[in-house]
Amino acid sequence: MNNIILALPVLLPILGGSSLLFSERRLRGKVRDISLEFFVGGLVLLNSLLVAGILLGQRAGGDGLVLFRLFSNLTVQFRIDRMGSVFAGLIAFLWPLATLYSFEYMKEEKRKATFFAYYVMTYGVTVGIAFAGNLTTLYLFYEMLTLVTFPLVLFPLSKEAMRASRTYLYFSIGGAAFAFIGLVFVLSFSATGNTAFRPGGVLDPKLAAESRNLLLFIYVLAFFGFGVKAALFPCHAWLPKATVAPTPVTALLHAVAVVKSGAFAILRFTYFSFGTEFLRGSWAQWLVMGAALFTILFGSTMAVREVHWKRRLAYSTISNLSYILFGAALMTPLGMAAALSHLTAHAFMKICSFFCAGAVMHQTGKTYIYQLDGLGKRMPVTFGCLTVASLSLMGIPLFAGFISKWNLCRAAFSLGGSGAVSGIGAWLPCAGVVVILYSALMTGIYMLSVLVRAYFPGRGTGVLSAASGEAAVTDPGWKMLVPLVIFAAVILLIGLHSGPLMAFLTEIGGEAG
Amino acid sequence: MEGQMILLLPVVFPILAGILVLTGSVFRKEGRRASLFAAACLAGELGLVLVCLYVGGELTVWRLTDTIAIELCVDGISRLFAALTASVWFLAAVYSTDYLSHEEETYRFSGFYLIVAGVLIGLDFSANLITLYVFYELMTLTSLPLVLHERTREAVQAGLKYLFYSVAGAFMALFGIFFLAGASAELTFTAGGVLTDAALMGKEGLFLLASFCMIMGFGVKAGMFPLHGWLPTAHPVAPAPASAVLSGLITKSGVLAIIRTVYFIIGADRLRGTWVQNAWILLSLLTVFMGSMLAYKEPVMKKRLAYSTVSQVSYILFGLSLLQPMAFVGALSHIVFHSLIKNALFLFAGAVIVTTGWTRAEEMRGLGRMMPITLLCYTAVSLALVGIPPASGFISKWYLAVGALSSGAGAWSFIGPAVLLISALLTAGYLLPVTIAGFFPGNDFAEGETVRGGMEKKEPSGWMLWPILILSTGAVLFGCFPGPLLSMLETIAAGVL
Repeated sequence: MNNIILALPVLLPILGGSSLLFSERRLRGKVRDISLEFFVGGLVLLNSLLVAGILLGQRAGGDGLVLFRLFSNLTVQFRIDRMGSVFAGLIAFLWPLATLYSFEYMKEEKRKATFFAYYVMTYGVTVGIAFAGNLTTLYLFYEMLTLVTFPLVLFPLSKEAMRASRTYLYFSIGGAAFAFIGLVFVLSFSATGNTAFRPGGVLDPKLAAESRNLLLFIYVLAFFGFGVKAALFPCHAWLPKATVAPTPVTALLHAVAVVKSGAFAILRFTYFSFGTEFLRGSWAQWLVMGAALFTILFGSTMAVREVHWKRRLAYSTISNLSYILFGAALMTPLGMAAALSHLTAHAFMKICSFFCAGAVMHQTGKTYIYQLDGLGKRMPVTFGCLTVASLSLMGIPLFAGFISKWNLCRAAFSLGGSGAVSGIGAWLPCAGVVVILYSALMTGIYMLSVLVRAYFPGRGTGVLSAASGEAAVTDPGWKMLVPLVIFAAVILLIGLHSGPLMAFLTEIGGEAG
Repeated sequence: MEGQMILLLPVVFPILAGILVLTGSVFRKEGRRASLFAAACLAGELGLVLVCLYVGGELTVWRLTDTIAIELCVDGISRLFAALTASVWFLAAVYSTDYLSHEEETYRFSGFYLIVAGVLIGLDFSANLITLYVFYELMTLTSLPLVLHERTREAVQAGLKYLFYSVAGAFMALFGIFFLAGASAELTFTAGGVLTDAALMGKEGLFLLASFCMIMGFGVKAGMFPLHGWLPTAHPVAPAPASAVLSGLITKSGVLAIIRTVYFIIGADRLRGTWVQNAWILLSLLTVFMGSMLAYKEPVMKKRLAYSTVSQVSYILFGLSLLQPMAFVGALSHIVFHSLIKNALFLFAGAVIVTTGWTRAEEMRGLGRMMPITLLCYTAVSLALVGIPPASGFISKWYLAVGALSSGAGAWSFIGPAVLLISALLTAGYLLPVTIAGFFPGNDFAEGETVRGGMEKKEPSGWMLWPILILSTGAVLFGCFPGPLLSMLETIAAGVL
């Protein structure tokens, strides 16, 4: 128990958050709000500093920390490796900013304490997923994630929210059940007798070769199981519905924390439990790759058809998450690096887009695309950030999205069409590039049509809204603007100078693939 | 940053000036101030570009990653394109100072007009494929506000169509770029291509597909069939100076990208005789014919000119697709001539709209009595576009035809010149009736005169007239004295083929 500090960033927010739920608070009015903000803000900030300290302090990882044993070889274990630190670092960077944003967004809300309680608890659980040292721990926190985010979807307490949260729950629990089957099989076929992550996988080569097809089938089951959180078709339906939740939830959880936990889990058990050696070239690989590609097609096409802004962004998330899964399904070191780079880039782009949509909702109450005429001039900073995020999502060079798309397509071309694999593997990755570019075009359509509407309203429409007293609409307060501007700056930074980041990610890919 | 720092100036200067115009409240109140400022900046820009072309050199601006660098350089092709862009852009800006006094939100037009100028120079100076792609995408995005400037329902629809076609084209090209980046570590433009046989081993089929995607993708901007649909929609709705440069210069950036890809990355020899070359020739000839045909049938003047652009730019593409030195020279010279001519034509159409409000060709009867000088310029450039010696169009078409005949591309070497001839006839058919009806309205015209009000002399102001005059003089003079230009183009051609 010498690495006890590893457990701190997981337990601190969970305990802190639940204390909010159970404490009777006697303060009233403004003081009550301020004290809540200080408590939540301080907790989140402290935790992020803690994570940063841990990541910078112990790169090597070491043995990690065995928190407790369920029985003999089922342990709850934290351990930091490079891949976990990417996800943890991302979470630790985004959470304080998103919390700052929510202070402003939830200002008028009565049940603030409940909201922030679960919001903070989710932080701890997500860090738990990032720090998980074996598949058992990952699975445990994965289930917990469903349970702590369920109240957040339910939060508006409207009929729609009830239905959405129920769908969310059913899908997630169902997915986790499939993932559990994967866990059992990994444990029983493991060469080490436990499920601890090891680059290249833990399967016993001899045992695994004997029942190869069974294991591949289990792999596909687990892929789709974890894929529920990553909104893989046909398990995506919960995500667009869940946009009924308050925007900070949609933005941070349903564009980053929850969905990326799904993608992260898939990367983990593909590269660190099953091992790419075992999967490469099998029918299972082509099956999951095909599913990811179909999801990209489906998500981006649906996004174009959707006129509700947040739902449109949710469909965009569906398609972009499958970019990551496509990278994972390439099962090469380059594919892994590309998947992680899109995981990072998409986090910033999508949270920025959602926060812009939230800022518009907060300031004007408008939720449909066709209501946005001429807002670009009224809210210049918000729409400036949205422009950066949109161009990045499209994959225009100089923005982060181009870098990750570049890596993905390079990885795809180096696997397909190289003559190294024959049959379906020779053309499917190349088809993947076509699919990604098609999706990029669709992204252009569904993101830029918003911008064109906001900046260049058709003649007449702008005059109307000025008459109805909407001329007073302005950018939101600094608490919402600061996160937006920081995210936009990060997108540009990654787009312009991704050398160090890519070097780090390529190392991860190199060791895992 | 290492290398010749001055190359960055003509790219950055107009962009900064444009941002200044967009944000400065001084320009917002007084529209004319914005367009005058833009014209002055572009005069400075022309000087800067000329200095850069004289100095030459290379510059590595920035490295996005270890393998992706933004690099600028000046070589023969960039000299040709940059000089052309900077001078025509300036002339159209001078014209717009007067033209735009009838428009609202002039500051936005002038601001983006300046920004696009910088982006285009960046495109012309690009030293590798990624840099080219960066500026190519930026060009689409920054030229969009020029298209939907009027903000009518029609203009916004046209703008979106322009945007989506262009982005689709860019992403088709990106497929090829992804492939080439895998096949070759280096994507710097080198005359004759950078690919090696070893790198393409075992993936020849995919390579040809990628090349075709790039030609098709960049061809969208050049209005190549079947992805030409945006051009006749988007060009006419923009204000006249914008349609002029969109048609005259921005379509050429698609051509530039194709030249860079085929002759400087892939290498002409790799495509000769493949299905890619055949498909490319076929598509460009189809476009030449179809564009002229549609222009012939189109009554609205600006739309007619837009269809004419579709057809004329494909002359250039046809010349490039033959992969033959003579045809290559013909194509490059047609870039210059068509730029001058099409700008003059669009500026003419704009001048007619401003002074009389006429938009349809048949309304322009008797125009010669009102605006004799303008119509004379129109006639001169029309004859040049048809290709009547000694005006400039003749030179380029001659080279194209001779190049086609000696290209050894099978049946294409006969079909090509035949299509060019038919299209030239059609060009005469859609341009010259305006001249004829303008100068010789016929005996029954006296009655119409009273109906339409006064037909006294009413030339456009000097701000508008001089650019038209200079452009048309250029179009004629280049035809009379093509020597220096052609010898420069022949040097370029000798390098790549």
